[in-house]
Amino acid sequence: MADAASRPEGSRGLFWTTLVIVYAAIMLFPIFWMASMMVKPNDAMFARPTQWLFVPTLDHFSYVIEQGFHWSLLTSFVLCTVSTALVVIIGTPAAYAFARFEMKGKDDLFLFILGSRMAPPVCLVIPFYLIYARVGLLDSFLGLTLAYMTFNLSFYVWVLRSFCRDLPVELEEAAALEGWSKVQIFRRVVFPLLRNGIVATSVLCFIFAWNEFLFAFMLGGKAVTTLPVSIPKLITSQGVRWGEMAVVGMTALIPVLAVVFVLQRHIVRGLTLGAVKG
Amino acid sequence: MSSIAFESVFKRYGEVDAVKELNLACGAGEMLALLGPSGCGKSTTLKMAAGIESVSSGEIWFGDKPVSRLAPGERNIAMVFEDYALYPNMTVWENVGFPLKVRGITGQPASARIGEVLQLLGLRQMADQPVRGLSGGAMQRVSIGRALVRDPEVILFDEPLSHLDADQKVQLRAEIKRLQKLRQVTSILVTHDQTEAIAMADRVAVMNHGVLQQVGAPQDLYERPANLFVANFIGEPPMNLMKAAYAANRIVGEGWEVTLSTARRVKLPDGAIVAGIRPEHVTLLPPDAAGSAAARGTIIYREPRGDADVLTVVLDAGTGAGGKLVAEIAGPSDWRAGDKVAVGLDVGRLLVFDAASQKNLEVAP
Repeated sequence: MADAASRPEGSRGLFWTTLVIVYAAIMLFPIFWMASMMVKPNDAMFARPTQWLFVPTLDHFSYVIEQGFHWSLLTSFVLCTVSTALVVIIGTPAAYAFARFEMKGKDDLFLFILGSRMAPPVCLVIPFYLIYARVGLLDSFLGLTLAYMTFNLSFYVWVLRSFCRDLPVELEEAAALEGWSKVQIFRRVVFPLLRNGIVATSVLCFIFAWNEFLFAFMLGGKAVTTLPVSIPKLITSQGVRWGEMAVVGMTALIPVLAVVFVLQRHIVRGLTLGAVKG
Repeated sequence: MSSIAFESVFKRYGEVDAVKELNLACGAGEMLALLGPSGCGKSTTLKMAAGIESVSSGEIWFGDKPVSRLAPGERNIAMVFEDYALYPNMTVWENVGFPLKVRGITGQPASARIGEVLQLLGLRQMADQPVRGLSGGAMQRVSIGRALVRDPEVILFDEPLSHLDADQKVQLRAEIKRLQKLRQVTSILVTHDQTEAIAMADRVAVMNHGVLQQVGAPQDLYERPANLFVANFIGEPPMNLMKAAYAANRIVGEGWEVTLSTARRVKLPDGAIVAGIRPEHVTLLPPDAAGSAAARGTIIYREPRGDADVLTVVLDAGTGAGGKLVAEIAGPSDWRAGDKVAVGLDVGRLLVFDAASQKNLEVAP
């Protein structure tokens, strides 16, 4: 879009702006609706015709707190942070090694790693369950952390490898000539250049973990309840608690939005790095 | 400063020999160019000297010290890379000072050293700029500064000029040469550009398919190429190479013939040969000129170069058109495409290669 900047502002610009605004409005409407449900009294929830104006209530919030949903939020947060941190710590050197070092059967090993991501999660959760039952990791925070780490690690290594490949190898050679060891080169030359890629990829890993339901449901049991798993609890014998569901749903959305918003500069740069460099 | 010697060095990648039995020496304070087309093994050779690539067999000597088992950092070498390999998040000053910082040299001695090198390279004003936005020429200067800053025993240049604009290329070429002579640092220059090799190096080693073809002073390679590859690779426009037969003292080709002097004749066996003559040793005369024209022909193409004209001539063979010959004469000349000419060859400069072995029959191997 080299000519976009030089195009005179006018009817065409206005047209596109309007189009984008309309599109955004359509996309954001469900979110707005969910947000309004948080403070909507139950009798206004499904009123016909739609009540746009109502007296806001905090009942849904107090119910959610009473039921201890904030503990699920904390569980989710700690679980995703720890598992993503582990992925970064283990995955970054692995991705670098796959990109740079010659080893026997490298491609096969890489495909194997990728394969664990290709299988539908349902196929993996059964063996996970059986193994966890044997070693006593069921219903434990550690077990779930390891599971999340496992399925995010393959994705992370896969994406970060291409970032590593795009780095000019001469930088590392130049540093090697100065007498640095591989570890020093990795820490002080490669890592700073990979930072954007690491941020972008780990944010994606965090979001995957944050949204994950199946593993948390099967492996976490009653002891470890993440936010996605806690939501169905609001489908009670007395009916579905829509307002409370909206509260939990919005709560689940906020950290993701916040992370993306704060780090968007890194993410955009990271995700477009390969393409821009050409 | 130390000398560098390659002793029966091989580099194998699986089945492929990237470098085959390389024996080559570079004297202390000398600049040696490794010249060849891409994939000829010149860069691999350089990287083996740097320690970035391992040596499959053979030994590399720096002075009297075998280095092939040493890590790159233990060899006291510096390298200048094709795409500069500067640390993008550092300034000019920090990049040049990097080798000192790594070695724990800081404070006054370090800044004096860095300042001196920046001065030498004319980078003083840019010292605090980040390297990201610099021009290619400036970036390569910084890279050279980084190489010079700690007085290495050897500097390895890996195609240092190939990404630069023409004017910067010429400027930096002279500069590298000047600094290399000033510091008397042993250097190896890898390039695919013969002009660069000839302009900068004391001696040039030509490689092809991993095999060293010939080493010598640039003028030697130009005047006495050891084989057809070197003859064809060095010189612009390239040497005319024509199939011919040699018998007694006469060389007969398609549409041309010459007689060699008796002194040269004794050394040459009869048989199929390839005759080589540089375009500037071909003269063109009016077709009716009296005397000993080697051949007659028609100009089919004229390329004016300002000070010279490069003319392509198709020789009249007995039947139809014969071989082609390129002549470079002082220009601008009056010759035009379509003109009939008589062709004179400087027989003293004519080279004789064996058709089968492709070797120059008059150069000792």
